[in-house]
Amino acid sequence: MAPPATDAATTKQEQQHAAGGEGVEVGGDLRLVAECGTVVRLSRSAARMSTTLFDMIEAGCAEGGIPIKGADVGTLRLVAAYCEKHAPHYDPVASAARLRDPFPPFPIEFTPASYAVKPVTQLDPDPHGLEAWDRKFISDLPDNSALFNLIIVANLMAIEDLVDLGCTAVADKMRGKTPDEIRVALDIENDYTPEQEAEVRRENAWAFED
Amino acid sequence: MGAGASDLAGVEPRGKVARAGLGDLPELCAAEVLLRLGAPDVCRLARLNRAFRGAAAADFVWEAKLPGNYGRLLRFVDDAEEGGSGRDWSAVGKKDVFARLAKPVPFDGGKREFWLEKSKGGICMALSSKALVITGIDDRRYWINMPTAESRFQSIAYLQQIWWFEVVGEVDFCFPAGTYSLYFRLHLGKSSTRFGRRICSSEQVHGWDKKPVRFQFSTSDGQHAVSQCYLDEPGSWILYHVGDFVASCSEESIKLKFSLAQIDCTHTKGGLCVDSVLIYPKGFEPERVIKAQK
Repeated sequence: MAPPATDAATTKQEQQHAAGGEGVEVGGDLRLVAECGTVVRLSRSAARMSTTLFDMIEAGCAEGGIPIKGADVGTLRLVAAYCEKHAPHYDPVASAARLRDPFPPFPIEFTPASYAVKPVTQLDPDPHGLEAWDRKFISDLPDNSALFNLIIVANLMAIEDLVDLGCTAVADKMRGKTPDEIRVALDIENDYTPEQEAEVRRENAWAFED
Repeated sequence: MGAGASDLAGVEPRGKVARAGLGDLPELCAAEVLLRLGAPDVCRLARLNRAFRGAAAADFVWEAKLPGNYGRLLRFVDDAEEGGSGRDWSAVGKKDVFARLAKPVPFDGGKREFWLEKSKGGICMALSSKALVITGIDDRRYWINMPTAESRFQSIAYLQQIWWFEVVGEVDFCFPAGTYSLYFRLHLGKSSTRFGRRICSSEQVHGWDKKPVRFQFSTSDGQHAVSQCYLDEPGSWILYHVGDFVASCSEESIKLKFSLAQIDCTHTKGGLCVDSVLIYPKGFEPERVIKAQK
């Protein structure tokens, strides 16, 4: 995918991301080191999806092992697989625009004018199959703990698209469920006293009226 | 391709890696999750534990759910509430702002009201029959105002019989950007309650099968729709869909004009309850909807 044309709204960093870090020596794969010492390799093009790694490459300190504190090797491999899959189609400008508003009330539709003769071409909403791949990526995770680890490491490495994917998956798991169901599903402890719980119920009752 | 893609399936964390729980998510991530959920879900999550209560009360979580022009909408609240004028809304938490706007805000002397639809935060509006211009409304041979609990305005306009049936309305409002649908809420037949049971009488219902009624709708920025439909299904409230419109800018008001008519004077029609005109975010259909034909 060609880098986007110069756009006044694009930050310098987004331009550098898109250009694949031009001006930096195109070296070998990065070597990420998990908590247990195992090395997970990551290509330079995939690494630019992580703002942290990208900055390190730019600063010239991405040689040798890069320890990712607190990351187990399983999660690190998942993160690497995600970045390798998405890197060829990564558009930081489009990502930033999409992530600016994760909860629009409802999409703004523009219905084609009734006098339009030409039929509106139905564009394939998932031309590279990335959305389908993401869905499988999430559903293949062995348990919720793996999902939380994924978010924690993606957040550590500043991979916004992956944090978005993970948080959306967690939100999807919680949507429409009662607190008891969520406590069981996500293993959360209830630290309220009965009086406190009643108070919280009261102050939130407005959301369930009519 | 990539590192370790071959052993993705069934990856077991090795060594002493603690099982991550929801509570381990950095605060920003928990907030990211709440940003993606609707108001009812966020309020449910407040009951999970104390940490979630805090995150679920955060201003930025609720500000993202409010329509862009909520400051303007709050002025209607001030106008509607006695002693509410001069309330410093900047000191009120955004969750409380959302909660207030989620309750109906009356205007135009109580003949109209708007509110936030809780799960997605879109604006809804209702215009009572008293906010509409109904031909012959003052003539008791044709129309009578009936009190009823089945209307959010506690009163509907009931048509006994008439040749010239026409209901016209106008709206001028700053709708937050988005797509909306406009409906007439109608009921064929007269309903009443006997011994706690709802009874519907269709005695006076006539004339609607002879010719269809015509819906017309236009906006100040050139959107328009015309359609027609035979009124049917006596005994239940139906939302007759008039058309959709797009409000492109939250800061500018859009004027809507709409009408419902059956003015063929070769036959009379009657037995119809006109409750209100409703404007809902497109896709929000809390009652039975009938879409007219173009």
